[in-house]
Amino acid sequence: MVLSQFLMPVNAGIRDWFKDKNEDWNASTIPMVHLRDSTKWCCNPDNVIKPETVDSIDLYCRKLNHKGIESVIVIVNKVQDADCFRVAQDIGNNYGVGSKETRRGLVIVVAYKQHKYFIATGKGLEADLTDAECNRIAEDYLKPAMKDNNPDKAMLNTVKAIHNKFDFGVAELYKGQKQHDAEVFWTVVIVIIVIFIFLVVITKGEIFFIFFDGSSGGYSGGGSSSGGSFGGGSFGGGGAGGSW
Amino acid sequence: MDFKNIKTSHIIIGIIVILFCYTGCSYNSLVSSQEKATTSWADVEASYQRRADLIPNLVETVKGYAKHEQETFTKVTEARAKATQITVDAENLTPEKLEQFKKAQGELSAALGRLLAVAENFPSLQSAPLYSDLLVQLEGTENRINESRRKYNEAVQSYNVSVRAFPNNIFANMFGFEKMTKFEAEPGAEKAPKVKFD
Repeated sequence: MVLSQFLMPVNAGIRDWFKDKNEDWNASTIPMVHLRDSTKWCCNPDNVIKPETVDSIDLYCRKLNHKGIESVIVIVNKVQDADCFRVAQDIGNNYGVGSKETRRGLVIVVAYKQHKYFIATGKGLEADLTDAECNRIAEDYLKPAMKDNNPDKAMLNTVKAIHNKFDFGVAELYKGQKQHDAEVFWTVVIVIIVIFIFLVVITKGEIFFIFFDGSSGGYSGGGSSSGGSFGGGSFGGGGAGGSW
Repeated sequence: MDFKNIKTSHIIIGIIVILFCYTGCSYNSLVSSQEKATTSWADVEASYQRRADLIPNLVETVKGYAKHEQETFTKVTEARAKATQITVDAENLTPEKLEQFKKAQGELSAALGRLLAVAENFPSLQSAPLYSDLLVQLEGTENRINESRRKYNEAVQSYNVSVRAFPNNIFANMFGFEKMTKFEAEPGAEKAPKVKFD
C-alpha cells in the first residue's frame, strides 16, 4: 500500500515525461510563454534547445519588439500533421501576434524531429520581410545548422539574421555583425588605453596603487515579470517554409 | 407596485419597443456578419490577383531557357488573361458567378502546373536565383490563397448560420438577407502547383 502510493506520482511523472516528448503540438496546446512572462517569446516545451539559447533568442525578440515587431518563436519535436505552416498561422491569428494597427507579427515554428519549419510574417510585415527573404534566411542559417544536428545554432542564427535585417538593413549574420563587433571592440580598447595613459601622466604613476587597493562590489538582479499580451495582429499566409 | 393600474396599452407599447430593439440588434448583426464575409471575399480576389501578377515574370524567365515550348507559354498567358477578366462583385456573389471564377482560376492553376513541369527539365533554370525567388513567391501566394479562402468560408459560415437560425431567419427574410456561397475547391484542385527544391 505504502509502496504503491509512493510509486503513483513517480509513474505519473514518467508518463508525463513520455507524453510531453511524444506529443504532436498544435496552436492551442503549445504553451505561450509570453502570456506568462512578458520578457519571454521563445517556446521550447520539449527542451529541444538549451535554456541559454532560449535566453539569447528572447533577447533578440525583445530588440525586435522595440522595433515594433512582435514575435513568437516555437521549437518542438513534432507538430500536428507535420504542418508547421498551419500551426504558425493559427498561433498568429488566434493569439493576435503583432499590433492590431500595424500587424507586424512574426511567428517561427520548427518541428525538430519532423524536420519541418515555417517562418510566417504578419500582413503588415510581408513587405519588409518578403517570402523570398524568409526563404533565404532559412536556407542560409536554419537548414545548414539543422543538418548538422545543431538546433541551438539554427534557431539563434535565424532570429539573429532577422534582427540584423531590421537593424543593419541586411539579413546577414556574420558580415555586418563581425565588422560591427570588431569596430566596437577596437574603439573601446583604444579609449581605455588613452584614458590609462592620461591617468598615469596626471598622477605620476600613483594610479597603480589605486588599482591594487580595489574594493569588491556586486549587483543583484532578478525580480519577477508579469505576464504579457499580444496586440491583435493578423496573418494571411505570408512567409516561407520547408524541410531539411 | 400595483399591477392593476398598468393598462393593456402600456403592455402592448412595451412589447412593441422590445420587438423594435430586438429587430434592430438582429439587423445590425446580420449586416456586420455580411460585411465581414464580403471583406473576406476581397482578400480572396487580392490573393488570386497577386498570383496573376507573378505569372508574366515566371513565363519570361522560363522562356529564356525553353524557347521551343511556345504552346505552354501561350496557354498560360491565355489562362491568365481569362482569369483576370473575371471579377466578381462581393455584393452579387451568386453561385453561378463564383463557379465561373473558380473555373477560370482552376484553368490557370493547371496551366501553371504545366509550365512548372516544363521548367523541371532544365536544371540550369532550377538553380537560377531569379527563378528560385519566383517559385518561393509563387508558393507564398498559393498559401495566401488557401488562407484567404479558408477565412472567407469561415465568415460565410458564420453569416449563413445567422441568416438561417431562428428567430434571425425571420428578420433575414424580412430585410432580404440571403445565404452566401462558400468557396469550395473542385476535386483535385486542392493540390496547388508544387514547388520542389532539390
